[in-house]
Amino acid sequence: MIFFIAWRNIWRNKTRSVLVAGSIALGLWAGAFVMAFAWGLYQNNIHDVIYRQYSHIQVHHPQFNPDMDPAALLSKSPAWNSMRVQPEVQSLTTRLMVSGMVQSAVAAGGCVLLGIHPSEEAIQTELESLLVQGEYFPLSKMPQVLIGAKLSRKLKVKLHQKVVVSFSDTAGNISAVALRISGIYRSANAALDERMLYTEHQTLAGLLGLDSNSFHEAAILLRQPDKLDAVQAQLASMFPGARVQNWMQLSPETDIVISSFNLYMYIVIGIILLALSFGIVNTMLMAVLERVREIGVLQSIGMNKRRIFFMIMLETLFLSLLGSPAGLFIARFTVYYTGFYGIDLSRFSEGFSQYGFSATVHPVLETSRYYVIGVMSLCTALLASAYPAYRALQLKPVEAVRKI
Amino acid sequence: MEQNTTVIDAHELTKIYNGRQVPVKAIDGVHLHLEEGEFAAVVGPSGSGKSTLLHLIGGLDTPTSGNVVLAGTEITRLSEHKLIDFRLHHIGFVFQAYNLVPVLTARENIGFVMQLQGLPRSSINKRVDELLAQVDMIEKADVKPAKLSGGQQQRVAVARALASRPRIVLADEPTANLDSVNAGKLLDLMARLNREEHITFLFSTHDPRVIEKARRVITLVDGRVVSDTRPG
Ligand SMILES: Nc1ncnc2c1ncn2[C@@H]1O[C@H](COP(=O)(O)OP(=O)(O)OP(=O)(O)O)[C@@H](O)[C@H]1O
Ligand SMILES: [Mg+2]
Repeated sequence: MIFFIAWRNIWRNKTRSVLVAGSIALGLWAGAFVMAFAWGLYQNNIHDVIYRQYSHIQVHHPQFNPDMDPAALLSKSPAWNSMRVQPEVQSLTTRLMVSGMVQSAVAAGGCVLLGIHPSEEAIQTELESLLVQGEYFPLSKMPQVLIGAKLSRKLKVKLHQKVVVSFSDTAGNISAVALRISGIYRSANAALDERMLYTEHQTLAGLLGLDSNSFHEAAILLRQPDKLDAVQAQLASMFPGARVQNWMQLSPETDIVISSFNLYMYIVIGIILLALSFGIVNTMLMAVLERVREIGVLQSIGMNKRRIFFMIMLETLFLSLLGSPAGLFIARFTVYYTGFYGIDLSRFSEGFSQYGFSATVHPVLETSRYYVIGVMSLCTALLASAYPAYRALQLKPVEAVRKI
Repeated sequence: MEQNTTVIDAHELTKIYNGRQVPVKAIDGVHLHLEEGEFAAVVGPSGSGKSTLLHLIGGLDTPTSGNVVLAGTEITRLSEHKLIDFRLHHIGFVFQAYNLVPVLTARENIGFVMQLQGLPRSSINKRVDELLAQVDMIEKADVKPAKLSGGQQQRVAVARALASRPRIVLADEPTANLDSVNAGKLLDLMARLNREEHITFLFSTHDPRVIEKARRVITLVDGRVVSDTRPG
């Protein structure tokens, strides 16, 4: 019966109740959608980190470091080649890397020269798709190199011109090689564009006096990312003593962003709910003050304080129970819809696609997060309802019935 | 002859309101004794303390001194919580207006008190039908108060006051908002219920025609009982 009265009470002032329930719905919708959108952006970022930069797993010699010792080498085994056919593995490749100097006729700078397998790298890092000028390793007698657009400006070199790269070989001797620029690329990361030069594996292996099995870095892209741990373990036993790292270890900043997402989400939702709770408290206080006389009569005929408290609390709860599922339902729908079709940011900001960033965001939010938001809003409603209900208890029946 | 028992026994009742400027003695040393089945009116000029007296007797307000014993229970000693429960089971109230819960129909308003008492649904329904018939409101049973006339609302309020099978019904100017025809009808109804259900009624009024129907008239002036008569 008290449920019944409370339920009918909220419909006494329809406009007011609809406004409160609507603002709760709107607030939660906005909160959930912003979360989904942010998570979608992170997913793009993670996608770039994996598919453009690190792959899922990399293997290095334990002594390998960015200012590398060219002798920190590993060697491909037959087991490595057979990994290609494992269903969870999408692609894999190996690279040689040396640090050195790159020079043109007018300028010079530090660089990293990578020896890559062009066809594998095209899948592994989508390197070919970054090309803005020239060709991706065309057949040629002359050793070739891909350089970044930024470096080409700095060195004032054009396509088909030559640069000289000097580096120390595995024995510690300085050697230099002239490479013809066959292509110019541009990636999302300008700092890397200025340093990374790509040549063919066999070219660099020849210069270093290495066989085709030697490598500094191996990268594996997975078809089934949930098998990450298993493949990582497999690689660790394939290359005993080597450093086998997954993308979260290679890019800890990305990992931190993901793990701080929860906190970020609770703060945003918390602020929205706090704002909403002021609206709820205000509305329910108005409802209580309007009904002073009625509550007085109820007390006079024997409705005890517990029941009156409960009645007012229920009214508040009903309001938010109308609002929050509606808001979350609409949010789920919006996220599903925009997640499916994607939101094309290039319409709003040109910078994205130009630099190889994915301009389309697919908002996404795990189902459990909707429940978390739902529970948070329920707790807020309970807290917000306590004060108006408490105020209703403060009413003295005599004073209330004397008010006409 | 039936054995009369005391239902209301107010002793040396005083209520002083600490108003803004001077304290107001709204009730000043009132003794009041009502036997079961009485049909008594409290009359007096405005401000004489009629409402205050009924509120004290009904346990809505606490006296400054003195005590009230209802059907053997000294209600002036009950805790707030026990007092609410006592009202639920032993006292019916009818106020001047706005007695009914606006979101409930006439039927639901009457049944609500019994639900608070925790009675089973079947006996509630039976009693509600009975009461609706007694106050002649069967046709409007499923109408909400806003769509009832003043007289109809007060009849439902009387039915609700009786629903809990109280020992006493206290009515503070139940006819004040009614025209004389409806006021007369309401009084006739109360008088009949008083006879048939043997419930004690104590009501306040200004209305001479209502006073006429009372079997006992208690007159208050400045918070004191100045006369207590049994006409007829
Ligand atoms: N809450 C209060 N605070 C101060 N004084 C009050 C309060 N309630 C009532 N009084 C005073 O107590 C006195 C008695 O009031 P009460 O309402 O009992 O009179 P009444 O006989 O019912 O009057 P009426 O016929 O106008 O309803 C009046 O002087 C009134 O001003
Ligand atoms: Mg009065």
